[in-house]
Formats: sequence, C-alpha cells, structure tokens
Amino acid sequence: MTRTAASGTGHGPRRSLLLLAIASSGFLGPSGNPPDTRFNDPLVPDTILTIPSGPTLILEAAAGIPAMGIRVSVPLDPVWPAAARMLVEQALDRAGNRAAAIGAEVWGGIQDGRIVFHAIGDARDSDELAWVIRLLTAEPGTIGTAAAISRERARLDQLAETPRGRLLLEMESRVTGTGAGNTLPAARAADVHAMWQRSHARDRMRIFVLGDLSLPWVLADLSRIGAPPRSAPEAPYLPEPVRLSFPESPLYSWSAAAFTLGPAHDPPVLAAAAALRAGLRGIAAANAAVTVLDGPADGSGWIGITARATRSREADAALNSALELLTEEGLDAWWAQGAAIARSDFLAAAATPGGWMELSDRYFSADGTTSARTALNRLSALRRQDLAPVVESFRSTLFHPRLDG
Amino acid sequence: MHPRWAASSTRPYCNVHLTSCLVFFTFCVLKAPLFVAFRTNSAAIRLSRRLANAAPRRSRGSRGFIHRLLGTIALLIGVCVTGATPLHPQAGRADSGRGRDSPLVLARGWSPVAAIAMALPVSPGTRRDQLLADAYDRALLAAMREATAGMPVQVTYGSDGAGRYFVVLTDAAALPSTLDAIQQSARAGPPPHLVDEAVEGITGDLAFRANLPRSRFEEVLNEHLWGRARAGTVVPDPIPFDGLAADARATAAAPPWGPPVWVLVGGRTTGASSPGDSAGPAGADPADSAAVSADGTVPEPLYVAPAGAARREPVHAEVPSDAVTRWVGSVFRFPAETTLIEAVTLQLVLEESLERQRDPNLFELTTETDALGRLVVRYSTSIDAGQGWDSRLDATIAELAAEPGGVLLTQALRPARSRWSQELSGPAGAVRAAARALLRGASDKQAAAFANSAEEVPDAARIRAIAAGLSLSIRVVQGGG
Repeated sequence: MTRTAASGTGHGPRRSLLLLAIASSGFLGPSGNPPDTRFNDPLVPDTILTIPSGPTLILEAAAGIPAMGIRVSVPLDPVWPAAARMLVEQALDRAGNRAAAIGAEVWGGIQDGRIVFHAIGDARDSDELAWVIRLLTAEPGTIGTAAAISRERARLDQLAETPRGRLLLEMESRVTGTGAGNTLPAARAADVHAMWQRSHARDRMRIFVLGDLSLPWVLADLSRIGAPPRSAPEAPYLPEPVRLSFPESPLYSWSAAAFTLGPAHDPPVLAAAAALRAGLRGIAAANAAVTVLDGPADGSGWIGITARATRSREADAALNSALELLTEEGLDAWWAQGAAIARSDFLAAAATPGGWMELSDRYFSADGTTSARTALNRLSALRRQDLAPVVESFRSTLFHPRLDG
Repeated sequence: MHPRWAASSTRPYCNVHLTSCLVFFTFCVLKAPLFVAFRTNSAAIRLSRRLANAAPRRSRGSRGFIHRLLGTIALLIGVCVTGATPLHPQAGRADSGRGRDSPLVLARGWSPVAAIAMALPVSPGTRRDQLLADAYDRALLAAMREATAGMPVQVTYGSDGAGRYFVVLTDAAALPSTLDAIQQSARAGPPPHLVDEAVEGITGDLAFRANLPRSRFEEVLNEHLWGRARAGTVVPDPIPFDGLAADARATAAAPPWGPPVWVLVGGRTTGASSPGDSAGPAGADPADSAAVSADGTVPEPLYVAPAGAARREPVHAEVPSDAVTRWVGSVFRFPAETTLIEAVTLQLVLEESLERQRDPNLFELTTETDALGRLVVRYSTSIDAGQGWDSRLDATIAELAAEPGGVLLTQALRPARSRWSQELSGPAGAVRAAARALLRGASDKQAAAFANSAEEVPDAARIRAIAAGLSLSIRVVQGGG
C-alpha cells in the first residue's frame, strides 16, 4: 500500500498518501527518538519517518518560528567531488531565479560526504520553498552541462597553478582513489547524469524540514522528489583521468603534508583541528609561512599543511615544527582552547536555520543513538584521553606530496 | 491603537516571557531581576523591583556627567540643524519594572541556542568621541572574550546607524553563568591594558586608511548626519590623535553613553528547564499564552517619525576628490507616524529594488535606518555612472510610491519580508532587533513586539504611502563633480 502511494502521480494517490501518513505514521518507519526526548530539545528531531522506497523525512517542528528551511542531502556516490560540483552548479542555476523571487536563501554543496541543498525563507512561502527544493533535486538537463564542464576544468587548471591548489588536488585524488593529484578524472555530461541517478535515488535521500509545519504537508510536498529508487545499483564508474601539469614555483620552495585526524565532524577531531590551528598561530617559523587548508568535504577530514620559504631547508624545518604539534604532548597545550573553539563554532552554527539543519543532518542516525545534542554533549565533555585516537589517525594517514614540478 | 500592532492569536510566542518558571530562574539563578510588567500587582514583580533597587549601582564622576551633557547638547543641536526627527522615548523604559542591568527576556522555545545582547547607543559626538567609542567597544569585546574563555560561548560585535551591539551566543545550559560573566565584564568596564591595545589597533588602522577617499567621505557624511556640517564643499579635519590613549582610559572608567540595554533569548533545553517543558509541542509555550491572555493589551506603535515633522530644503554637499570612485550618501526623512517596522520594511524593499537594478558600475550599496529615524542610503559607483545612479535611486523611490503600484514593489516586498523573517528566526537577530527598539526608547512590550514582527510586515499599500512621503534631507557626494 505504501509503495503504491509513494510512486503514484496525480491527486488521487497524493490524497491517499496524506491519509496514509496521518493514519499510519506510527508504522511507516521507525521513529528514532524515545518518547522522553521527542520534544523540548531543538537539537533532537521531533519526527523521523522512513518511507519504504522513499526518503527519510526528519521534521523539527519549531512552532512559531518565522522562517522555515528544507535541507536535502544524498550520498556522494561515487565519491567524486568534481562531478558532484557540476551537479550542484546546474541545480543552483535551475532554482536560483525561483528562490530569488521569494527572497529565499538557497545553497548547495558537498558536506560530510553528502551532496546537500538547502532553501530557507519566510514560513508563509512553504509551498514555493518546496518547489525550489524540487528544482534543486530534479534530473539534470543537457543545457548548461557543457558550460559546467568547462568551468570545472578551468577550476582544476587554476588549482594546479598554485602549490596550495595542488595540495588540495592531492587530497582530492586520495578521496577519489585515482592516484597522484595531477591525474584526476574529468566528468562528462553522461557522468553527471549517472551520478544523479545513483545519488539522488529517492530511497537514499534524507530530507530535513525545520519550521511550523505539519507532517502531512511534508509528505505531500517532498516525499516524491529525486530519482526513482534503485534496487541494485551498479558499480561506480570513473572515466580515464586527465593529466594536469604542476609547474615549478619560480620564487619559493614549498613543503607540504596531508593527513586526516579522523571523521571530520567527530567532536574530538573538531577540537584537535581547532587546537592545531591555534597552535600553528603560535609557531614562529623563521623565514617561512605556514598555512593550513581543509581537504575535500567528503567527511574523511583531510587537512593539508604547506610551508613556504625561499630555501627548501627552511620550508622543511617549518613544516616539521608544525607537524611536531601533532603529538599528544604537542596538542595538549592547545587542547582546552581547541575544545572551546569547537564548542563556540557549534553554537554559532546552531544559531541560524541553515546551520541548525546542517548539524541535525550531520549527526543524524536512523536509530536515534546520535543527534546534534549528543555531539554537543560530547564536545562539552572532552578529555585528554580523546587525543590518542586522533594522533593515531594522523600517524597512519600522513603523507608528503611533492608540489613542485 | 495601531491596527498593524494587533497581537496575533496564532503566535502566542510573540510576546514577552513571564512565567512562574522564569521568575524562579530569574531570582534563583540569574540574581538579576528581569521583568515585563504584564501583571503589575504580581508579588514577583514587586520582589524584582526590590532586588533591582538593592543592586549596587556604579557611581559616575563629574566627568561622566559632563560627557553626557555634552553628548546631549550635540544631539539636540544636530536635531535642530538638520530638522531630523529625535528619538521618541515613548511610554517606555520606565514602565518596564526591570532593573537597569536586568535583561528583557524573549521566549524562543524552539531555539537551540540562547543569546544575550548588550547594546549601547551610537556616539553622536565629534570624530574624536567616535574614536573613543570605537576604542571602548574593541576593548570591551576583548574583555568579554577573556571573561568567557573556556565557556561554550561566542561573543560578536556589530554596529549600525542606531546602536552598537555585543551579542553572545551560548548553550542554554550555560546561560546563567554566561550572563553573569558578561554583565560583570560590562560593569567593570575594559581594563586599561585592553584599552591601550585597542587604541593602538585603531591608530594603526587609521594610519593606513584615514586618508583614503572612502574614510574621508564617511567622515563628512557623519558630520552631516549629526548636524555639525553646513551645505557646500566640506573638507574633513585631520584626525585628532593627541592624548587619545589617556582619554580612552578615562572613557572606559566612566563611559558617557548611559547604561546599556540588555536583551536575552532563552532556549528551552534540559539545562534551562521549566515546568512547561513537559507539555505541548516545542515552542508552543503555555506560559506565553497565559501571559498574553492575562494582559490582554497590545503595545502602542513605535514611531520613528513624529506627527508634523517640518520639511526643509535638502542639504547638498560636495566633497572634493580626485579618486576614481564616486561615493554618495543620501538621507531621507520618513513621513509622520511611520513605525519602526514600516521603516525597516521600506528600507529592505528599497535595497531589494536597487539590488535588482545592480550593474557592474555599482560597487557597494548599503541602507540603514539611523538613530534619528532617517533612511540612509550609501553607495559607491564608478565616476562615469555615478549621476546615473543618483537618478536611479530617486526614480526607484518614485516608482515604489507610484499609484496604482508598479511591478517593482510587488517583486521586492516578498524578498524583503523573507529577509526579515530570516533575521528574526535566529536568536542573534531577535536580540539585536529588540535591543535596537529599546535604544529608541521603546517599552519592553514594544521591543518584544518588534523582535517578533515577522508577521507584522506592512502591506504594499502602506509601503507605497511611506515611499510617497519620503523626503530627501541630505545628499553628500564625493567625486565626479
């Protein structure tokens, strides 16, 4: 019965879906939260509904909030950030005008290993916001694909021109599993469409709705967006990589390292990354400049460090002194500060509808064991012992890419 | 009673939070009474007043008195010269029953984060007074950050034409201790070493940018906004740096702006629990509903412009410049009996309308409603396109005012409404809005209503009427003459 309703079209099935939702929300899917936490904590979703062969709907019913937000996230499948960027760019092009007409904030990108869109606007514009979301998640057309491919290629060339860009490409190539950073697969129109079919399959979609809305509205407007569910997905396909040239830097010597401290948004990892940044600000590297950059937003938490100096030995020395921070003793001095920064960043994010939805989606688990609240609690109770796995992850993933020539 | 300020029965949260739990929270945890007098015979309110009166108050020296006196005189002179609308201390602060340091509390049952705002009025004084205010704010921000180091908070600072805002975001569980730390820091004022650091920072910044054309334009526009400049060509004075550090220390010891206003948005979590937590959906706070029904009144409208404000010939001033960018500041008076929410909506509508006409020649565009209740539009353009944008601004206002109404207003009103909803949906935006109203002399209920005014945005007909009543007061142009 549920399957029929979910895949139907027209008013009849839509009405039956509404009735079904009202009558059977208790058995359509598991509700993740135990009764004692269902309301009164905004960092724990009110309602979680998993529709068979349909999306997981998460509703934070914030009665009285003047704005409303809808966030859709789908898995990054295959893990190919370049193709996902093109998919997102086309989606934003499709929905931009409609969002501007109602003054909605619309955003798309890759976060935590998922392709994410959100639209936030006035609570009275809920139907238009749902329309914007439908446009964002619609099947990509061929119009505009060539321009998106050109822009992505230009972006890769631009990154290849600078050492920091090259480090980012090196980390991206680790994520896609395609070898060295100067060989990355170049997406074509067909690849973007194939990625949409895989990643946007309805049953892989997670929809988070924040606002003064009822569950029937959410079901009626959002339960059938995206691609049809797929029973047996094919193995991901990555085309032949293109080779980028890394020119030698004429002025400086560069030294670089890349590593991951663990899953990007694990509370100890957040605190350690903030501690690392705070510690690096305190390092006085003679004749060298040290910078930190985040890797691809695939959730694996890659971090890169570059050191730039006129002599290679000075660049190496600066990088080594930066990496010395990544021991339990080195991080310990900055641990309290890092934890405080991570907590305040968390709060600043939760203070906006977009950030609130992001946190709820990021720490969501279908069985209700984790939520944004549990993450905040962990951030508030970090101990020095939490450093050990972070340092171990650093040691096991550290590599030194060559950025010159 | 202004019809647009009728309370919405569907939005019981749109009112000030006064509950038994909050009273308990206030007295037992915050130790700083906070109140909105819905029920004036409440024993809790009487107790709150007693506590407020018993609270230690900072004595102010004669220097502070002189600063305040001079500031007031400068403001009055400015008002007289420009014909601008003064602030309207309406029924206001005196009817609140709150102590001086007691925050106005807004209910946001659905908010995952609590927020505190401390706001000070903009400095109406001379350039040097403004530097002293900048130094004070920088130093106080640093002091607040030091005071809350290690606590789960984020302290930010921002200013607009109406006020200077210190906004603190915190976990609801840590709200009492955070408020305590922030208020202690504000009462103590910034320590001398932070004031010195702030002065050093400002001096360093100005050494770089004081002579840039943009800074000179802002300086001249500011002189006009506060009524200290005359029409015609104006050349800004050199910046008075002598003895700045000593004066900044003295200002920090006795700030001349009067007491700050405090606003608080509390979330509802396990950390700040209340009896209402266990019943009803999140956000539908039974305590709010009770408070509204017991009171049964809606606040008086909060006007930015009084009835019968005299129109004067606009002041045109030109600042000589050989820069390749042209800066323009236009100041408009609102028509009589324009409320704050109407002024803000018109400001947003105008900004949206101008943004829709943006071209590569427009570099920057900002709009604000200033402390004297005027609409200030600033933009910078390329020299060649500058005069075209002057006429575009005037034509846009005329189109917004046109009967029976153009497409522009229809197109811009919805995005403006959406922006205001998004602004008020976050705790930081809500506390800032309430603080902004309090700085204009609003009563607590008016301030709370303004912070919950997303549904009270005026309709197109009212916006059209206000646009028709806008009158140009000052236009300062730098470059391209």
